[in-house]
Order: sequence, then C-alpha cells, then structure tokens
Amino acid sequence: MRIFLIEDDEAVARHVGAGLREAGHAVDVCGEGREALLRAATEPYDLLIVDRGLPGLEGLALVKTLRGAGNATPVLFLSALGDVDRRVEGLQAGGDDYLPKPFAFSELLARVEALHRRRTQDAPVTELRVADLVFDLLRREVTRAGQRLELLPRELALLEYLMRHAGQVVTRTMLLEKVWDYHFDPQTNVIDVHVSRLRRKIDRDFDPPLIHTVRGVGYSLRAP
Amino acid sequence: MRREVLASSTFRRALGVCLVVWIPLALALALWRVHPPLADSFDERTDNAAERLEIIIEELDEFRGEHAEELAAEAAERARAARGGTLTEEERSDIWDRAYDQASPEEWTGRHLLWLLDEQPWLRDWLNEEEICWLLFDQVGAWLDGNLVPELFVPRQEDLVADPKVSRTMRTTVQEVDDAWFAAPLDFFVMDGVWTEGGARDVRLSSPVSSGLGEPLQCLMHQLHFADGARLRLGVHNEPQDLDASLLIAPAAALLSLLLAGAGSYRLARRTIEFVEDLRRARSHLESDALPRLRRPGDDGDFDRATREINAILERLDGALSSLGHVTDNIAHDLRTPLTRLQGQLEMLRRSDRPTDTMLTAVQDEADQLLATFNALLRIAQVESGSRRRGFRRFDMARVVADVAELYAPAFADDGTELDLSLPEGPVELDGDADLWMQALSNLLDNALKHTPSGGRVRLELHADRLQLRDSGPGIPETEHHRVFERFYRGSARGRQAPRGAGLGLSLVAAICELHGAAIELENDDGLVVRIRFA
Repeated sequence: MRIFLIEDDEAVARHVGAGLREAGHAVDVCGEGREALLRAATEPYDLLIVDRGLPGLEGLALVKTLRGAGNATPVLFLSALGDVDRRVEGLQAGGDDYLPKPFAFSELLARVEALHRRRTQDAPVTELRVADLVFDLLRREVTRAGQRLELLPRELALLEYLMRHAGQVVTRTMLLEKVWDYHFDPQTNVIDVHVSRLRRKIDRDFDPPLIHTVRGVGYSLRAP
Repeated sequence: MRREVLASSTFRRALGVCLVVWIPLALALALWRVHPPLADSFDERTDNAAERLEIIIEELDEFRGEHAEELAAEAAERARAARGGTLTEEERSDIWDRAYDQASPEEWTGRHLLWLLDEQPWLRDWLNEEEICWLLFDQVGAWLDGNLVPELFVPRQEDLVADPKVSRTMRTTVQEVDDAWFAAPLDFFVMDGVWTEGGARDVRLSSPVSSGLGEPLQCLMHQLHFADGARLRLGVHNEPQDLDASLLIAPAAALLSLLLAGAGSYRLARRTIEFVEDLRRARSHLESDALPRLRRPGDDGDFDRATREINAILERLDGALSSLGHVTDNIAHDLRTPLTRLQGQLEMLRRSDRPTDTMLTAVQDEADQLLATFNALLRIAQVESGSRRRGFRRFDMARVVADVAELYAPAFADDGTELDLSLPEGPVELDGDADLWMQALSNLLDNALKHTPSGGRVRLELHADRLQLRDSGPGIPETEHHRVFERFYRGSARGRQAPRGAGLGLSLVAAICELHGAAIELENDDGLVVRIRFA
C-alpha cells in the first residue's frame, strides 16, 4: 500500500516510516502542511497518516480541505492532543481513525492495516468464513465444522470484528473501541478474559486453533 | 496608608476635573483617529474595506470619463497639427470618438488604477491607512502596487489555482464566506496573515486556504478583477488587541490627563502608572520562584477591584506552580526505577551475542509498562485541565454502569469473586463524558477485584444521585483516605501485588469526579465503600 506520512517531528517520521516500510508499504514523508496538501491532492495514495500539529497548515485544516475537494483517501490522525473532543473534531473533519501520541508502533500498524482492509472490503457480506468457522450474519449464528456454537451477544460482536479483520492483528484498544464502543484504557486484562472465553468456545474442541495471541499487541484470527 | 487615603480623595477630585476636560478630548481624539484599529471592531473594519473598494470603483468610473475626454482632446489636437490645418467638424468628431473609445474601454484595467493612484495621491494615502492592506498585481501575478509583500503570496496562490482540486476547495470556502459577508461582482478571499507593528508594508500573507476552516481569521480580502487580468485585493486584519497595546494606552491617557487636568489629576496619573508598573513587575516575575502580589489601594475603586482580581489569578498560579513541582518530583522518582531497569536490560542485550526471546520480551514489557504509565499521567493531566468539559453531553449513567459490569463480569467470574449489580428502574441522565465515567468505574472495579480475596463479594449500586461500590477486601486505613487519590500513591496495607500502571488509577478517578463536580468519599465498613455523589 502507498502511504503518505505527514509528520513534522523527524524522529517520529523516521521511526514510523521505517516500520511501515518494513511491513511492506511504500512510504512518502512530508513535514510541511501546505506542501503536504498539494502532494496529497495530486498523488494517488492509499492512506494518509496526518499529524495534527503541522507547520504551515494545520493537519485538521489539511484534511478538511482535501475532503472538500472530494478526495476520499482514508486518513489516520496522529495527535499529541488525545482528548475526546479533539478526537471527535478529527473524525468530523473527515478522519477515519485517530491515534493519540504516545503510541506503540504495533498499535499504529494494526490500525493502518484495518483502514486498508475497510476500504478494499466495502461490499456488504452476509456470511463470514475462516477455515471451517462460519458466521451467518443474518441469523447471527456461528458454526464450526458444521457444529452450532452458543455465543453470548458480546461474544458474537467480538467474533464478528475478529472475523472481519481475519489475518490482521487487532489490538485490545481497537476491540474496546469497536466492540464495546468506549474510548478508555482499562488497566487490567478485561479484554483478554473476554477473548479467552470466546477462544474456549471456538478453539477448544476443534483443530486447528484460529484465535492467536500476538504478544504485546493483541489478537489475530486466521486460518493456519 | 496615609498616601493611599490621600490618593483616594484626590482620585475623586481628579475624576470630577476629568469629566469636564477629558471626555470632550477623548471624543476629539477619536475623531482624529489616533488609534482606529483598537476602536473599530473587525466587522466594522471589514465593512469599511468593502466600502473603500466601492469608492475606488466610483473613482475609476469618474476617471474613465475625465481621462478619456482628455485623451480624445489630445488626439484631436495631434491630428489637427499633423494635418497642418483645421479639421471638419465631422473629422474632429470621428477622431475624438475613436480616441475616447480607446481610452475608455468597457472595463477598467490595472493600468487605469495605477494612473489614478498617481493622479490622486489622497487615494493612495487613504489605502495605506493603518488597518488596510492592499495589493495590485497584473495578469501574470507580477506586483504593480500595494502595501503588501507580494512574493510570499502570489506564486503560492498560482500554485494552488493550477491544481484543479485545491482551487475548487478554495472556491467553496470563498463561496461560504461570501454568502455570509458580502455578495457582489467581487471575489472574496480569506487569508492567513501576519500583521506587525510599523505599518502595512510589513504584512505578510502566509496561507491563502487555511482560514475559514476553523482557525482564527487573520485577514479578509475583497478582490476586484480588471479587464486586463489585473487584480486588486483589499483587506483588513483582525489582529487581536493585546495587553501591551492597552498598557501603552493607559500611560498615554494618564499623561494627557496630567497635562490637562492639572495638579488634581497628578495622583491619578501616578496611580495609573504605578498600577501598570506593578503589573509589569508581576509579569516579569512569572518565571521566578515566588510570585509577587500587587499592592491594593484599598478604596474599593476600579484599581482596587482590578488589583484584587489580578491577585486572585496570581494566587491560583502560585498554587498550580507549587503542586506542579510536587507532582513532577513524584513522577521523576517513580519513573526512574523502570527506566533504570530498562537501561540495564538494554545493556544486557548489547553485551549478549544472541539475544533470547525472553530478553527481548522483558525489554518490550518494560517499555510497554512505561508507555502505559505515561499515558495514564497524560490522561490525568488532560482531565485536570478541564478541556474535556467541552465534550460534555447528556448520557445515561445506568447504561455505563451496566456496560462496565458486563465488561468485568468474566474477569470477576474467573477470579471467583461475586459481582452484584443494582440499577434503578429508569435511566439516570447526567451531563458529562460517558467514556470518562467508564474509565473511572473500570479503575474502581479493577481496584476492587485486586483487593478482594477470592470468594469475596463486590457490590455496585447506582441511585439517581449517587453511585456506590462496596468490596469485601481489607479496606484502607482511615489515615490514608485522603492520600490514595495522589499520583503514585500505593497503599501500605492493601494489595496482593502491585498492579499495572500502579498508583495512578485512583488519581484519575478523583480527577474525573472533580471534572464533573461530583464528590467522592471513602469509608471502611467490612471492606471498602467508595461513594460518588453526582453534582
């Protein structure tokens, strides 16, 4: 994927750029708002990562301007000002996701992949399938190897999110935001407990295991 | 004190004198437009700029008539001289008409305006007045005249126009602003600019697109198109009045009243100057350790009230600064340990030939831990700053409580601790930030879970006016109740182990309650009871 990283902090830009390249993406970097606007408007990028505080033209104004011009490239905001109304402001301006600094690179990468996936998978689906695990979205029923599994509503929502992002890493924060719809930071492993309950139902009596723990980052549901 | 009393009575006398002398003078000064940018609002000045543009158009209209007539007469004279004799009336009229048409096109050009500005110097002076900025450039963007530095602006403008996407946005913006301000055959531009003291020539325009999109408006410009492609831009600045400008005016006013009102005003003038001097001193002390307080005249007059307000602000600042110092000490102390550990681990990695997975994981964990601590600190600071109050809206606390209980149910079940939930019948509607309350309740449940022995019981109750969480743990000694909300405070008697992000959870809870005007209290009653009363 071709990513345009708009970030004026050189250390962050270097670190994030190197990490994204290592993950197989082509990365352009620009640290000046106006120049970045021109380039973002004229070159076909798959994703923009935009810092809020930029010299020349503020990140928020940059994205608003792009959106106003009909440019729909997904935008992930980075910001040192991670409070809620900033977040809302960012999303209202046309951002697709918002990540407050400081962040772990793995968190950023997971969100980048998720944004990419969301864009390529716009068609409505009625069924999700990973290996022999099948989620009937209309009936809200899950079977594995043809056997019906009894899941609680929250477990269904959790599984749906994991299956929609099959093969990608999703972080605990992402799960909390997308499945529970709250933006906060639990101090303990509450999410892990939910995942391990789900895992018991999905993986205990079947082979191979589908839900994998990615150390220090989160989870990934994938066929072996 | 004697001086204060004297000053107080002379102040009243001075006021009487001033009322007679000072008010008419002030009116006269206002008419002289000694400092118009401070007197007029931005709206007024913008209207003013628009009016000026209209007047320029009128002047151009008039000029077209006069100038064309002049040129036509000259042309006729030249033709007559060339012919070496007289012209027939028909010939003369013919030449005159042609010259007139030539000199008076259907539309004006930039050159017409240039000529006009040379012919009518008052027009130029009038354009150059303090708050107005203007720029005339030809069809290729070359600077013809004006009091703006055009290099910074024109090329960039052309760049943007060259890009169809961006210029469309510009037009959208222009249209939006246009609707709100000033419809007409004039284009309307909004720009970011820097307005500096010392005249319009120092004005630089930096960004033609960013304003109108949320930032403060710096410079509003009207644009007039000429037939030859030249453009005239005329605008005003909305430079906010700063303290320095007011400080300049106060002594000036004091000085004037001294001259005009005689000895009676002397003390008033002095008072003003002293007051301003005090202010200046207080400001210059802001960086040093102890903040000074302003001397209060004690007469309950304007200066007294102003002094009181300023002293209250200084008081608050002093408190904030000293608690900042306290917090910084704690943070430095508590982060030093994990950082030292991290450093040691990195050193070990450097020395080892083949780093093992365990070593890398340990480093990663340590770094994650530090990041979590920083995030927790930042979150507390952010909540304490009060900025999140802007995001307050009506929400149902009963839903948040039900959600947090649902989120923690599996964790409690795994731990063998019972989680009881009691909700009122209907919704409990509050104004606030649901995410923050979720955070607070999650921290409290975390705490309860950690400190309640297995097989214990935690009860979460919500009522219309309060929320209560009761656990069956060891409780907190009463002497520590007020300290548990401090950053990095770890209870002496409690706890099976130091939790992640240790010592910050309850500080955040306290900050969130404070932000919402809710009162939080602790009680020991066969376990710990945390009670939060909503505002």
